[in-house]
Parts: sequence; structure tokens; C-alpha cells
Amino acid sequence: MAEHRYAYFSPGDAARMGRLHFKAKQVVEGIITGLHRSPHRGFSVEFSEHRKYTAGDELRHLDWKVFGRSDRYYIKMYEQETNLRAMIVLDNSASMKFAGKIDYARHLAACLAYLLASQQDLAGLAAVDESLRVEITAASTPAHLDRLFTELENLQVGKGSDLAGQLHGLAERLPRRSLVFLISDLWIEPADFAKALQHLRHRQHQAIVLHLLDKAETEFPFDRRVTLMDLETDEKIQVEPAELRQEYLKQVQSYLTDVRRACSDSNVEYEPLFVDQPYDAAMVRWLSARK
Amino acid sequence: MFGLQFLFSTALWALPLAGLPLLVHLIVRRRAPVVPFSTLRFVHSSLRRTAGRRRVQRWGLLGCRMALLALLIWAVAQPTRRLAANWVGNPSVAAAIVVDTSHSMGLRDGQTPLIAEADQAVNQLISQNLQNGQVAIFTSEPNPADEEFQPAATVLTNWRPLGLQPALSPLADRVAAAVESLQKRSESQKWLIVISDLQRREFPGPLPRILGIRTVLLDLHPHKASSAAILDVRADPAQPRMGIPGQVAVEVGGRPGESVAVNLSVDSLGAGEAHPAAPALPLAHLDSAGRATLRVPFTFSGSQWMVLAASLQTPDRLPWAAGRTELVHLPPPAIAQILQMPRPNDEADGIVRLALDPSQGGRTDWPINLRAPGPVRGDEDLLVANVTQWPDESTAQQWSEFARRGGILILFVQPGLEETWNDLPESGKDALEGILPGIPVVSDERGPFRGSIARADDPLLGNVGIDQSASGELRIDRLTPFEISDPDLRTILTAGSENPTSGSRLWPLLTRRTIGSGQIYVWSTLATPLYGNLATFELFLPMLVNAALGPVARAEQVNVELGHRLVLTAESAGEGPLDLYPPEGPAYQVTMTDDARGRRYVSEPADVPGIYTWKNGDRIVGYSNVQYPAEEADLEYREASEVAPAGPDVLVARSAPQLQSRIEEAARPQPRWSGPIAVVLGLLCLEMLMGSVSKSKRGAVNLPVPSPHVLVGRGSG
Repeated sequence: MAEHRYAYFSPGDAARMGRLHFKAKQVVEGIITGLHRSPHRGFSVEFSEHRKYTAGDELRHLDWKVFGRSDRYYIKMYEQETNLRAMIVLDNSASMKFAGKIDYARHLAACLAYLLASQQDLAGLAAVDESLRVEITAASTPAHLDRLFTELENLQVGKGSDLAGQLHGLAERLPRRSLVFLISDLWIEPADFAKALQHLRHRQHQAIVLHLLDKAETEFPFDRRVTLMDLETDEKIQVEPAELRQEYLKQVQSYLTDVRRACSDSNVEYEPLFVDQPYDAAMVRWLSARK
Repeated sequence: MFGLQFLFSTALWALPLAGLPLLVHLIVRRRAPVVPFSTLRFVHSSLRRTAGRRRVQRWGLLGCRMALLALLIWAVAQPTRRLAANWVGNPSVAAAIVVDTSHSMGLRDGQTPLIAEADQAVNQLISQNLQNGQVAIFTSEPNPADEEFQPAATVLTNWRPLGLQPALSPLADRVAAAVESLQKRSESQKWLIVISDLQRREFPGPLPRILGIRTVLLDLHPHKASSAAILDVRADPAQPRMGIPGQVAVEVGGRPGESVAVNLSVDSLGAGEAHPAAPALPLAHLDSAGRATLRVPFTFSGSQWMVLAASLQTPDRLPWAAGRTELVHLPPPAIAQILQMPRPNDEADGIVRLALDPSQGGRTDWPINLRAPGPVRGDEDLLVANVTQWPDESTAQQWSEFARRGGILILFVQPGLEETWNDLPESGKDALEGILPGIPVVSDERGPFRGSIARADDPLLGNVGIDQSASGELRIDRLTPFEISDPDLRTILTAGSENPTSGSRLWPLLTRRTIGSGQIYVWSTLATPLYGNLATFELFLPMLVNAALGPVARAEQVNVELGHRLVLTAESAGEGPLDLYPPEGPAYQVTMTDDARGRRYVSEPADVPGIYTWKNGDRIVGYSNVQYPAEEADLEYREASEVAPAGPDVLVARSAPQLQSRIEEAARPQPRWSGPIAVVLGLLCLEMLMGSVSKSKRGAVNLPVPSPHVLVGRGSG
């Protein structure tokens, strides 16, 4: 069996992604004409609306039919379609090592980058933990994808996490109306997370949150006394799972509700993904659902 | 422990093992596998929030486990309860045996009387069950020697067969005495054993339940009570008079609705003295309460001491209750004398003489021996005078002294004497006021007067034999008015004007004054036709005879029940010591006692029924009759459950063999497993429940679940 060139992107992935399309639900600003709606009105193919003629407008855009009927001057406006500038933000904190979430995230990031590049959209990558570890600006060339895939392979998992702070930074740095894919386990304070999302929205970015979860986190299935070790702080604590399961589940439920509310309040797409399911199938299901 | 014993008490040494769970909890730190986890933030908050509940749950579980272990060890030790296990061979047992020896225990239930069955039961208990214990015997009749706790062997050696005894107090009192004795004992086991027929009178209430004293009740009462019993036989009136008609009453008890045939016999105690034949009694039909009273007319005569004996015609299971006797003492004829006045009224004297002795000496059984006219001899019981003029002072004092000594003085005061009252010297008046009902006064009120009864309940009017309303026919033409000043004076008859006016009043016609131990009756007229129809008044004769015989009460002391003392008044016997001859056994001497109740001869408590004879030398001075206690023949029983309510420390049996089997049964170890085992199972269930509740609370978080259809398996690329 031939070895793949990239650890996190296989030819099979390429074949499956080739049949998929991603279309932004909101307007984005690109540099070339593409699949996505642009905020700019221009004189392209797609008619958008009329406006009154003002001095200086080119007469070729005058709608003579309207003038013939109403004896008034109206200029025909057309909606511009553009390409997408996306930034894939990968949570690189130590907690992502749990249940192979970090590998799952890398697969997702690679597939997303390939999918975007294949439809002439620009894809960039930012890996964050306590700080910004990697930042690759958005592009869509094969060389750019090669670099992105290589960076994913070489990425070293960090220790702590400052996801909210890094999102705030990205919100400021990214060009306006970018699309931000956040792939994370989201173990941060819901209030901080909400503020970061609001910041992104304030900067007119579109955000999509891919929340990676494992059933061990949502069901707490331990049936014997265990010593749990925090992957970020190395703190250990011995617990009798039966004694606190109910309370734990209540807490997690409440947390997930808060996260979901933070996303919906900021008009951010939220998609929980369980890492025990294949990432490609999860992407297909997600993208199909978006249509 | 808790009143229980254990078959394997050594297992209790393992009880400290119950603390093992606590020890393990405190010492052993269990290792747990280390599991890397994404974040502990929810674990921390969950631990904080559940800390209290987890602590309670953990210690509760620990407590359950310790209790479980302790109860398992308890169960392994096999707790048992042996009510009587330590009777045999245990020197630390004190038993107070209360035996009912009252006469009701003489009932034959089968071949043997109950007392014999009780005797056998006591012997069996002492010889088989209590041979190493300390035993005290309490019988119906207190016996301090037997009531001391002694080794069972000593009690058995000195044992005398139980006999029927008089029970002067209920057996419940004897039980109380036994309990009091037991409470003073230091033995570890104390037993109160009561053997009785549970006659209702013996147990007014249930036995006391004293902490630390176990009770054994042997209930010997028969299933059916005795068929019948003579409860009483008596003369009516209580003190009959020779020659005066009376009645004999017999009280019969038994089962309600039955008919019982009773014989009556009359015997005289004087040798060779004739006595009237006893009348036949009708058949006794017992009412719903099981009682019947038979009455037949009878006139006592012939002998001063007579014995009435009533008996059942058929034998009874309680032999002594089938017959009963009553000794009747007829007082001797009263010696009477009519006093000779300076100015005698022969007609009045003749009428009084005829009234006191209608047969004029013809009847030997007449209760009044009226002497021929003559001087007073000093041995008279009765003096009668038709007062035709006021006696002088010394005569009045003599009459007063006669009454004070116990004599009866009857005076008929001639009307008109009141007019001479003021002529008397003061000393004479004073002496006469002591015997008269008051001061005679001169009244304008004239006859005729109508006599009436002032006190119908007066003993003088008792047993007169005719309707008292006939006294309305009494007409008094003249009387001596007396102004009554003595409040203690009893007015029996009064006389009021037949034509009353505004100033009319009632005057005393017959009065009685008690002086010393005697009495003075004063009629305020003479019984001659000149002053009215008193002589022909129907009540006059019986009232005069009743007054002449005096108010002799029934001589109760001549009939006593077993256990009581015989009493003879000194007046009838003299002052020296008397010999008392019981019906069985040797005679013994009784000396006179002089106390607040007078001079009397009081014997030892009677222990044999029958006629006792009092003798002064060879002279018989009196008799006494000792009877069985009548109440003991009243066989009404209580149920054992009423006397000794069921309880863990109460053992009840209906016969001696049943008592033995009950004791053996109680001596067998009776494991008491059910309680601890139930608790153990309950705790096991609780622990399982607590574990299962914790497990069942697992559940999935309500998250959007990914679509089940997976296009490509993970790693397919």
C-alpha cells in the first residue's frame, strides 16, 4: 500500500472533498469572483436593484426600458459574486490530546483547506494554544496547500489554552468579512467565548464552530474509582464516579447549553462533532445539512 | 444481653470485627487507575456540590456495613430465650410459692380435691424444678415460719400436706406479701408462683407485674362450678323469742335456673330437751344470679340453745358447702313483777297482768315469767307499775337505778296526776324527772284523743304480727300531758285531739328513755276502759311484750366463721376462767378480758367447725357455733388471663402436669433469629439499593447525536 504524502490528507480525502461544495451563508469579501455573495454592488451578471441616476453615472448602465415607461432615469445595479477568505483556527492546547481530538482536528482542517482551495476560495491556518503557534495567511494555490498540510504535520501540541484571547487577536488581524473556522474542544469559560465570538462578529467576520466532543466527556462512563488527570495542568484527582456522575452530567449539560447560546447569540454556526465518528463522514453530514 | 442467652456465646468475641469497615475506611487508601481527562473543571464543581451528600452516604454505608457485621455475628451466636432454663440446678433462683388454701380449694374436681392437686404441684415444683433454689411458701393463712426463704431441700423435708385454711384476706394480699419478699432477694432469677382456683373474691384485680420477677400461674379452677351450696341459714327475726312465732330462712346458691332440694333440721343442745319438729322446706328455684331464699314459719320453743341445720339432699363437689348450721340462743324468760302501789288500781293491774302473761302461767314456753304479786326480790328483769300517785323520791331513785343496771321499767301514769305535780317537793320532782318523759303539765285540752304511731320503724313495733295501721283505732279518753324536755327521748306513740282546735297539739302517749343499759317505757294513761280502749287495742299486747323482753340483738358472737375468735360476754358466765371445749381436740382455758367493749371471754381463732362449749367447772355457760366461711362457697371464678395477662415473663397452666410440660417447653432454647435476620436482610437491601441508585443515575447528556449513517469509515483514506 502506497504511503500518503500527507499524514492528515489522503487521496481518498481529496476524492471525497472534490464532490462537496462549501458556500458561505453570509456575504464575504474576496479578491476574485467566486461562489459567494459579495457585499459590493457592481455591474456584473446578477441584477440586484435600481437606483436613481446621479450626475457622473455612466449612461450605459441607464435602464432605458424604465425611462421609456416612466420618463425617469434609473441606473441598473448588479450584485457582485466573489471568492472566500477563510481562516481555519485550530485549538492546539493539551486538552485536545484527549481521545485523539487533535488528530481529528488536523484531518478536519486539511479537508476544509482542500475543499476551499478547490473552489477558488482562500484558506489560511492558525494554530493557537496559550499563544499563536502557527499562522498561515489565506491562499488557494497548490503550493499554499502543501505548506498548510506540512505545517499541520509538524505542529507540536501546546500545554495551556488561551483560546478566547487568541480569537480576539485574530478578529483584529484578519481582513474584514473573513470566514473563521474554529475547531476546538472549547473547554473555556462560556462568557469569554461569547465575548470572543461577539468580537469576531463586530469585525464582520463569519464564524463556524466545530466543537469536538468525546462520549467520555458527555456521559462520564467510568464505573470504578479512577484518578482523573487534567491534560493541561497535570492535576490528579481521585473520584468515585457513581457518587458524582449525576452532578457532573448536569454541569456538562449546562455548559453545552451556554456554548450553544453564545453561538446563537452571535449568529455563529455551531456543529458538535463526536470524535468516535469518522471525520469525513462527519463533514459530509455537516455540509449536506448546511444546504 | 437484653435478657437473651446465646447458644454460641464465644462468637460474641468477634463483635469488635464489626469495626472492620471503619478501620479499612480510615487506613486503607485504595489505588485507582489514572485516566487522562480533557478538563477537571466539571469534576471539581461536582465534587464541591455533592460533598455533603457524599459524606452522609459514605458514612451511612459504613454504618450499615458495621451493623451488618455485628448482626451477623449476633446471629451466628444464636440468641435464645430460655424462660425457665435455669430453674434446674441453678442456685441463684428465689421462688415465692403462693398457694391458695382457702376452703374453696376443697372442691373435688374429679377424684381429688383441688387442695390435693395444689399440694402435688408444689411438691413437684420444689423437688424437680427448684431443688437448688431458695423457696418460700405463702398460704392463705399467714405463717411467718414458712414465708422465710429456705433451701428447697429444707422446705421439702419439713413439708406437711396442705390443708384447707380460713382466708381472712384475699389471696391477692398474700401475693403482694410474696412480691415484697421477693423484691428483697438478691438472686438473679426471681419467680412468683401462684397456685389457686382463682375465685373472684381472692383476686379483685390482676396480679402486679414487677420488673425482674417472672410469674407462673397454676389455674386450678374447674370448668364448671359447684352445683349448689347452702350459703346461709338463719332465724328471722335475728333474735327469736321462745314461743313467739318467727321464720327460718335458708339461702341457697348454685347454677342459675336449677332447682335444689334442701333439708332443714332443728336440734336442741340441752340433753333430753324436746324441740319442735323442723318444717319441710320447699324446692329452691335458683334465679338468674344463682340465688334462692327459702322461708318457712317456725316458733322456737323447748330449749334455750337450738341448732338450725340446712343441707342439700344430694351430695356436692364442695362437701362442706352442702350443709350449714346456725346456733340460736333463745334468751331465758324475763322475770317480771308488777309493783304494788300505795293506792293500787286493781283493774289496771289485772289488765297489765293479763297482757304480760295471757295464759296466766299455763304456757311453759312463754318468754315472760310473771311473778305473783309481792315484794321486789332484786332479780327481776322487768318491773311494771300503774302509777296512781307520784312515788316518793327514794322509790323514784330505786326505779331509776333498776333501769340503769339493765332492767326494764314500764310505767302507766294515771291521768290527773299532773294536777298534783306542783305539790311535790323539788327533790321528788327531780327524781321523777329522771324517769318520766318530761314535766307533766295541766292542759285545757280534753279528750277524747286519737292515738297514732310516731315512729313506725321503732323496734317495739317490729314483728307485731298485724297491720300497724290498726293503731288508728286507739282511742284515749284521758291522758297525762307531758312537756318533753329530753331530746334523746324516743316518742313511739302520740295522742292528739279527735276534734282539734287551734290550740290542739300532740301529746306523747308512749315514750322510751334509755338509762344506763336499761330502758324506761312510760304510758301516759292507764290501760283501763275508763281512760280509753288501750287494753283492747290490738298492738297493745305485742308492744307490751316486746317492751318487756327488751331490745336483745342477735347474738352474733355465737355464730362465727373459721379463723375468727369466739366471744362470750362475762355477764352470762361469771368472772373466773372458763374451759372451752372444741368439737375436736382437747379443751383449753379462756380468761376474761376487760376492754373498751366490756368484760368478755375471747378465745383463740377457731380452726375446727362445729359447736364449741363454754364451761365454768361442770356448768355449761354457753355455746358457740363455728362455721365454714360462706363466701368460699360462692364459686365465681376469674379467668387466668384476667389475673395474669399474657406476657413474655408469664407462664400459665391449667394443671400440674401441664405446668411441668410448660416449664420444660420454656426451658428449651427458643432461638430468636427472626428479628436480627430481618434487620440483616433489610440492611442488605438498603445497601444494594444505595448502590443501584447511584448506578442508575448514569445517563447520557442531551446532545445532538450525529447521524448514524457513516459514509466512509475512519481511516479509510
